[in-house]
Amino acid sequence: MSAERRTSGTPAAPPALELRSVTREFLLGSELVKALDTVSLSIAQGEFTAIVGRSGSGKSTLLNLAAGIDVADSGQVFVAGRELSRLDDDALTIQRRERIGMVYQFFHLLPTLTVRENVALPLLLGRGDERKALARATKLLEEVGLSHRATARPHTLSGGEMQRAAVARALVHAPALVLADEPTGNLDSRAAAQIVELLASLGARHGATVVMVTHSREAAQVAQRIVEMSDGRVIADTAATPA
Amino acid sequence: MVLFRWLMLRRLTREPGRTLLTVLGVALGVAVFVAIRLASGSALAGFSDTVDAVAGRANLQVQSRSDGFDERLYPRIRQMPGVLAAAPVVQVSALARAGGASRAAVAAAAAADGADGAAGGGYHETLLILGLDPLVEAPFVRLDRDDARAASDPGAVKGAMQLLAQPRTIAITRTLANRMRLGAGDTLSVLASGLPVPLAVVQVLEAQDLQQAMGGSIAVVDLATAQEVFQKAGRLDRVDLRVDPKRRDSVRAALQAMLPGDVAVDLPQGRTKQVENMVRAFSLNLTALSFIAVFVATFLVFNTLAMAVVRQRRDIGVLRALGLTRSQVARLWLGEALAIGVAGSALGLLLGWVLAQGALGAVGRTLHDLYLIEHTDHLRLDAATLMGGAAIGILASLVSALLPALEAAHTPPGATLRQGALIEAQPLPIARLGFTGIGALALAALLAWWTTSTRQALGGFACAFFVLAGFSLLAPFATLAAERVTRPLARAMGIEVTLGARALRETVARASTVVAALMVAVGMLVALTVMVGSFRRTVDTWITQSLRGDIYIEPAGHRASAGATALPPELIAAATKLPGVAAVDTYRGTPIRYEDALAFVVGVDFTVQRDRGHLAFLDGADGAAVLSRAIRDGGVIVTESFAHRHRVKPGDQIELPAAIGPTKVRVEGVFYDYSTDAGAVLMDARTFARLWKDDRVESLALYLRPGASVDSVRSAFLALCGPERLMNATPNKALRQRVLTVFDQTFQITWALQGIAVMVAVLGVISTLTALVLQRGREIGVLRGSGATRGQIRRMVLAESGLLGLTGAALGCVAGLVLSLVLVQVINKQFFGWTVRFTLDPWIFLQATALMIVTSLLAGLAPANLAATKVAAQAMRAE
Repeated sequence: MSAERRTSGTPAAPPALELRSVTREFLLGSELVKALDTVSLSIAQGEFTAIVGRSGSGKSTLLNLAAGIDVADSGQVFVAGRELSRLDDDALTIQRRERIGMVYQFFHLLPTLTVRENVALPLLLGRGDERKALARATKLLEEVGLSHRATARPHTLSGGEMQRAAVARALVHAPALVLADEPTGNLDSRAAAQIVELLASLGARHGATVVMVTHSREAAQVAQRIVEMSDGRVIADTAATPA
Repeated sequence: MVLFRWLMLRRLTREPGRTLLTVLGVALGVAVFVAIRLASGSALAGFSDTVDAVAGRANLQVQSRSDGFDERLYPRIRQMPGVLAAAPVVQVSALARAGGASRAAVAAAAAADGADGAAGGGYHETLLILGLDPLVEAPFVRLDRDDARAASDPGAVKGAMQLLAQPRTIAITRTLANRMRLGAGDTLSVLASGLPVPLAVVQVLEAQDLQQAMGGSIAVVDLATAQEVFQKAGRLDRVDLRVDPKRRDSVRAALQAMLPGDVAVDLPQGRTKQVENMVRAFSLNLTALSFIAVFVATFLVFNTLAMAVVRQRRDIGVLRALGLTRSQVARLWLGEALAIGVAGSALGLLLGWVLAQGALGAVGRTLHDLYLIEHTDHLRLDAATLMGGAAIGILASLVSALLPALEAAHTPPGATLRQGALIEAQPLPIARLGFTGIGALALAALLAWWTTSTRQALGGFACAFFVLAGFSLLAPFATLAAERVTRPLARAMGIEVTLGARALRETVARASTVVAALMVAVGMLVALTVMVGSFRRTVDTWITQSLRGDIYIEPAGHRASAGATALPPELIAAATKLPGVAAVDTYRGTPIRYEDALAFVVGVDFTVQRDRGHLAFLDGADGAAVLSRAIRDGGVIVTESFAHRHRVKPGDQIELPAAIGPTKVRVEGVFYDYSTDAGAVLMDARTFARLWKDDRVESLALYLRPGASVDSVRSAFLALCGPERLMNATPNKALRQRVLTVFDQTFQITWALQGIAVMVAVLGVISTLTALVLQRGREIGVLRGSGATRGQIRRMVLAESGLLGLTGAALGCVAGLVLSLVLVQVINKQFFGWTVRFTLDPWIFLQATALMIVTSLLAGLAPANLAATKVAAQAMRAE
């Protein structure tokens, strides 16, 4: 399968995420391992992209670079046209806070907060008004079908419910880019399917670009585009076949 | 603020046990500081109130630099231009009791006392007696200052005071009258040189200032009565002046020029300042000691926050990934420390106030024993102390939070995204910390050298701080070393003990903070024990060598009345002729101001001292030769603390403010003495009589012939005194015991402070072990799943706590040894000028180690139980 470059969205708008010849290496013991090897990739605004590949293929590293959590050894990473290497830690943090939503495999809801407070958290990190933040969180919880668990503590939720809350948290501040790292990796197949559908539908409704790293071929099929990685390289980039 | 409320405050309230432990640690630190400051401040404020109350409206005072001055100076002072009013004063402290002085009354009181009839007699009240001239008192309004009648009609006061013009009458405060159940017309007896003197109460004073000063134990008599009763005929202690405020400085200068050198013109507050200076070293040392608990508490706060950062690293990572900046993270953690500091300080102020009630008694007793400052039972809340205590609590919390806050702020957001990433912080740079610790110890050595060579007393505290800091930095190394050294023993004790010991190695960053806290507590315990033990042994040896008399005799109340005491010459003459008495030494002393500091001049019989005493001189000089020279040339010998404070050495000339005028005398020797840190100048009784125009004797020491019975001679002497005169005749052994009892009482508060510091360190053990146990939930679950019994889990945690205690104690013993050298050779020497012979009792190391291991094991019981039951069950369910 040959790599096929695709673009969509408004032609004038910069890509939601763009990597230009990005290399990232890690030292594992005494061996230098290339997690990403001169990867170039462009994801248009509004696109739902799945990045698939085996463990160690570099897909999570790619996500971390996009989030500004990790820094490339060489090459450039752009988010909505801004080159991340030019930003300091605070600017990267603010970028994450304002333009990026994150969904993790292990949900990472804070145990001391209620479900609604967890969802409202990104708004408050930007010093938002508590009342408005909670109101917005309530609305998002309705959208993910969790309004009845708003005041519950995370440990009382099922895995699927926790991940739905995490999706609501990722979207509460209307980010342009949602990065989901194995969001179905810790769920049963039914819950996994629901979460991927939710990401796709909510992403579309909120106009967000969604980049999802996953092992699951089924989950990837929901995406508009599938990028396959192996040994730190993009080996395939295709439109998903509708299920 | 919302984030702080959601993320930090909520966690604090959801972990009430750990929060309470930390808050309590800070509170105890603050409480100790506040209690000590309030207690010593109240004792001094009580003294200051007394000075103000007895000074009335005087705005200048003429007073002797030593023991009173000739009353013939008074008319000259009064006539000085600019002096609006002048009042002569004789001021004496004396023991008193209600009722007359009949033999029956004394016997009844003594019986009620259950005391030695000679010394008891029911004289429990120490009165400050002012001898005043009623005719000139009105402008000073010191007796009825708050009485509206007095303000509108000074003549009324004058009228009331006239009553005092009757011989042997006294006016007492309302407070005293109520306490002693006395009223006008009743009789009050005071002790003058051991003789009860009945005085008729003619007036009860209502002035508010007098009720509060010295707990109201103030009385007024006519000037002539005071001079007669207390053998101060022709002498005045003070002349109080009211001068035109605008001309005060010029009048002061003119008076000073006109008066002899041994008389000074001061502001009334000058005496307070002088006393504050006198007790400065004592207060400062007590305050420094109170900081130990604060110091230990900072470790506790540090560990609590650092552990919380470790436990929440994943959550911090999530927050960082969601958009929380580094500075926001740091601020959140500093905010938590602030909350702990504020809560701890608030609780600490309350606790401090409660502790101060207890400390007031101990501090007051010590100030009375060492510096003759009267007790006060009234605790004053001083705003500066309270604010200082709160500031210390908050600042200590914030300082201890700095590192955890920075660590939290530098948590990479990727910590949560990269699976399998290490949750623990970076490994501890043990070697770098160790070298820094050695550097701090080297700096401490340098500071010790600098302090002793430049005599900058405060350098001693800096030195002690760097010793503690240096050993704290060595704690991680010590923790690893302890684990390695005890490994074979742990192996022999079973797998659970091995696992417990190994857990310490794995969590060395946290464990070593507890070890450091324990080290500080044990170090101070060892250091204080060695210092006090060395000091006690030195004093014991000194008493044994110096107190060679067989019976020491003083009139009852001598300690209160001091210089206003005189034994009849015929009694002294008769004592020398008693069968069995070989020699009689006499004692007369007076306080002086030397180079603006308090010191004492003492006259004793150098001939007796030379032949029978055994004064030890610093340079090892032959005492007999030194004293012979002093007798021949009219020279003096000075105490070590006097020599140290005033930089005096044998052969120097010093100028004393003698009654005959400033007189230069030669210092013949410097001798060891531990009776007062103010310092004393000793001279032959004949020289004293010449310089101070005073040959009276306050107390005696009887030297017996070989074979003579102490009891028989004592009884014979008391018989000589007659039944009226109340005398204390104390055998040598009992006196030595009494000195050591006072010594032990002086250090009681030290042990209380030390106990609290140990308590804070133990809180640290409980808090840290609990956190470590919770952090290792998964490991404990796996162990239980693999077949470990609850007992084994408990033993694992207890092995951990025991090893923590052992390591802290071992490091603390070494630190304590170094600290004790700093205390003995640097701090004590620079502050008090005493040479303390360093003596080491190895038992203290064993005792401290055993104490710490047992305490740590006890502290580990609750976390061990938690691990064996709740944590294990939860972890197994989770897996």
